[in-house]
Formats: sequence, C-alpha cells, structure tokens
Amino acid sequence: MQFSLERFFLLLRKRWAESGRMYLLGLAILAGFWALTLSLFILAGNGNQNLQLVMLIMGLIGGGAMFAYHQFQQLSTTPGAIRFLHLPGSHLEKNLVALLFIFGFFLPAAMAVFYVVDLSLVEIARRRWWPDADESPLKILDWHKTGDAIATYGIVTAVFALGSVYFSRSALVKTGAAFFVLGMAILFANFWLPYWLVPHSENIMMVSEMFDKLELHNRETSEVDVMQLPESWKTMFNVFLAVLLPVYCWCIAYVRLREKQA
Amino acid sequence: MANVQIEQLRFGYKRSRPMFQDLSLTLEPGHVYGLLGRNGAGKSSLLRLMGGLLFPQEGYCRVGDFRAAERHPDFLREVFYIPEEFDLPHMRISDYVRVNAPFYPRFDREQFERYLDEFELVSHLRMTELSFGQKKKVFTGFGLAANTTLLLLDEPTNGLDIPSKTQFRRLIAQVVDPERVIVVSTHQVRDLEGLIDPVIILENSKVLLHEPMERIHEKLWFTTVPTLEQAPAPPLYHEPSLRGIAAVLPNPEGRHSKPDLELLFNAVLKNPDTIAALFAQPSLTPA
Repeated sequence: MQFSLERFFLLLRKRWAESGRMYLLGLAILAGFWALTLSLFILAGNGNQNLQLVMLIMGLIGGGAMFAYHQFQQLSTTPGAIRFLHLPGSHLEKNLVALLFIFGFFLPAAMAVFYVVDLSLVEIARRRWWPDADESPLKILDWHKTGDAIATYGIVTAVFALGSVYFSRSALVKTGAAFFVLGMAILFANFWLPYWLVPHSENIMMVSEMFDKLELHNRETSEVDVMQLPESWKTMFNVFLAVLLPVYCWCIAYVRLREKQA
Repeated sequence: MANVQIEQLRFGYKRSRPMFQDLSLTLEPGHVYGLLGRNGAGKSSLLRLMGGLLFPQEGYCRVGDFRAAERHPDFLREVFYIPEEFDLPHMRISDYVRVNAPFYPRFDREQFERYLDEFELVSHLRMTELSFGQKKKVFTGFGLAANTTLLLLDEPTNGLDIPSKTQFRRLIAQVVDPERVIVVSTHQVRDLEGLIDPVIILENSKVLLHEPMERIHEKLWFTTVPTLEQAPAPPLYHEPSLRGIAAVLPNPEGRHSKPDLELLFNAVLKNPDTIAALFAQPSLTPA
C-alpha cells in the first residue's frame, strides 16, 4: 500500500476543483428537501423531535447514497474509468479521498445545513403557531439523539461506495436495488424468524422493535412476553452494524478498485 | 524508466477466447512505434495493457522497473495514455492544468501554452465550449507537455481536421526524445506516414511485423508499374492507382523507395508468411 501526503492533498484539491460546485448544489437541494418536508409537518401541527430525526435520517440516507456513489461514478464509463485509474495516485489514496469527502465534508456540512433549516423553521413555528409549546430543534450534537442517523449514514455511504466500485454499469440502480432487497430480507428475517421459532397461538400478537426486541402480547391473558438479546449481544450487534459493516465494505471497495480494469 | 517489455503475455476479455497468446514484444526508448491493425485486432487492448488498465491473464508487461498492472503511482506519473474516447471535467483549461499538472513531475506549462497557441486555443476557455476535436487537442497537448517517459496514443488523429493532423505530426516529431517511448495506435496509417518508426502490425492476436523503417526500406520495394506483367517480380501486394499499379515487391537488389504504410499493411495482411520469411533473412548491410 502506497501513501503520500502530497499526492493525497493533490487528489483532494483536484476532486474539489472538479466537483465542489456540484457538492454545494447537492447540499442546497438537501436544504430544500428538509425545508419543504419540515414545513409541511409543522403546518400540519406535527413537528416533534422524533419526526425531525426521521427527516434527518431520510435526508442523510438519500443524500449520502448519491454522494457516495458520486465518489466513484467515473468508473461507470470506460473513458471515466481510464481517467480515474490512470491518475497518478495509489488506490489507497483515492479511497481515502472518497472517505474524507464522505465523512469530513458531506456529513458535517449536511448536519449543519439540517440544523440551520430545522432551527429556523422551529423558531418561526414557535413564534407564529406554538407560542406555548415546548417543541425545540433537534440537538444534532447530542449523540444519543443523532447517533442512529450518523450510523445509518455510515452504513449507506459504505454500501453505495462499494456498489459504485463493484458494478460496472448502472451502479446506482443496482446498488439501490441490492440494498433494498437485502434490507427487506433482513427485516423479514428479523420479524418472522423469532415468530416461527417461538411456540405461539392465534391469541398471540407480535410487536417488533427493529433489531432490538420482540413482544408477544397474549390477547386473552394480557400477558406480554419479551424476547430480546442479552445486552452484550446487542452491543456487539450495534458495533457490527455501525462500525464493522462499513469498514468491511470500504476494504472490499479498496480491493475491488485495485482489480478494476478499463 | 526504460523500455517496455511484454513477455509471454496472454490476454482476452473472455478466458476461453484469448486476444493475445504468448505475445512477446520489447519497445525501446527514442522511437515512435506505430501500432497498426484492423478494427478489433487488439491495438487499444495492447495499449491498455502497457498502461496498466488491463491485466494480463498470464505473462507480464513491464515498463522499466514496474509491472504495469500494479499501477504504482510512480509508474502512473511516467505514463500518459490518450484514449480514442476520453472524458474531461467541465472546467476551464487553465483550471484543468492547475489541478492535474502537479501529478506529472516534468510537466512544462510553457510547452503546453505553446501547443495551445499552435492549436489556436486559449487557456481561459471552458471544456464545455470546445468541440470534440478541440478537446482532443487540449488533452493531447497536455499529454505531450507532461513529458512522461511512456506516451500511449490511441487513434490520435480521429476527430482532427486536416490542418490539425499536420500540426499533430509536427508536435509528435518535436517530442521524440532518447528517453521516451511513444506508441501510436491507428488504422488511419496515412495520417502518421513519415512519423512512425518502427512499425508493428497486429492481426489475429499475433504480431505479424515488428520492424524499423530501415529494414522495411531494405527488404521491400514500393513502386508503381504500368501493368503487372511489367513488374520485375511477382508483387507481394498490388492495387490499382492513378498512375498504374501500386505494388510491393521483394527488394533483393536493395533499391531505394519511399515506403507506403497502407501498401505495407495490406501486403503484410495478404502475405504474412512470405513477408515473415523475407524479414527473417539477415540484413544485407550492417545495422
């Protein structure tokens, strides 16, 4: 693995010169999306922090997927792939440039944009419609509130970066489709596997909290049985999802980039 | 970096259908190699193998101390590949140079500006304002000014108008350097006449001819005869021309003629074995 700080900065400068304007435009579009959706919810009288968090996650998933895909988008055409692969820089440096733009630029910039939009809209709403309500903007620096959003962003961007290196043609569509199918399969397995494994009857109603616990409500006795992983397992599972899975995807992307031909 | 060495290379887009098998070739610095072949003969693939963009299935391609397929950054900064179709970012020419030139240690800005002048372009123009031919001139000018030790050009005259083809030939002639290997692949052989030496002709995954122009002069006689019966020997290849019949003949008497690359190409494709046998004979004069 070759790494030169000088080449790394040259690659960063080149990426910014070629795509910086588009990235800023992307952030403006994201700001518009958040302004529109949050305004609609506020006008409908529903602007609590959970909803704000959901909108943050949706924006980060959509924007992050597009941004990560763009990092290796050149590889989807032969002339683009030639330009990318023949640029004098190591595969490691090119991968690190993508990583830095995804985590060092887009994530903080998108969070800041969300904060500004959210703060402005909630403030306007409080003055005009909710003088007595205690609604407040989402605290984006509070890890307990936004940790899930950042972890989701990390997973989505890693998967889409890998997809754009892995697939030669229509990488965005193929990655999106693969991500959707895999996600649905995991959700399905997460819900139904425990249900099939546990003895149950028609009186049992199942309520699932994603990857966390499964509640079996007995309609006759009103008893609730809870199935959940031990805390240590849950921690391991969260670490796997939020850290190991993205790291694994980035490692595969690096290997695949080395093998890429044009 | 020094020469390009291809050794027992096997390559194909499908493993069952090799494009090259046991291909061995050495390219020395100080020459402009002309890589000629029909469409699909593997010219572009061979250039990409040299540039590390395609990987051999067996054998290797080395450029100096580097295996091309490893795409080591020190290798990449000594190689510039100008493909037939290329992709340039939407920015001003001057910005393109500002962010790309530092990757090439011997890039010469004055040289690049001279090329732009010659092509009647100015550096504040945006790439989006340029035609395909103009973009090609910018990219070619950048590649030449990068002064890399290996310069690979794939169909460089495609998309250029007639005056630009002349300019291109002049520029290539200017950048020939004892330290530099230039490989030009083309099927428009007339565009590069007088520029390329040696000539490599590819056909059906094989190198049919790899000879310097001096040997081609020595072994073949390019002439025009009024009728085939008046030819001093049975031609290796002939075709009608305005002045009679243009023919390629063996040249046992060492007569001097100006090689016509198109005739040479057709002659080699038509009579590969006869021509191979002719060139296998030792030279009459010492090299």
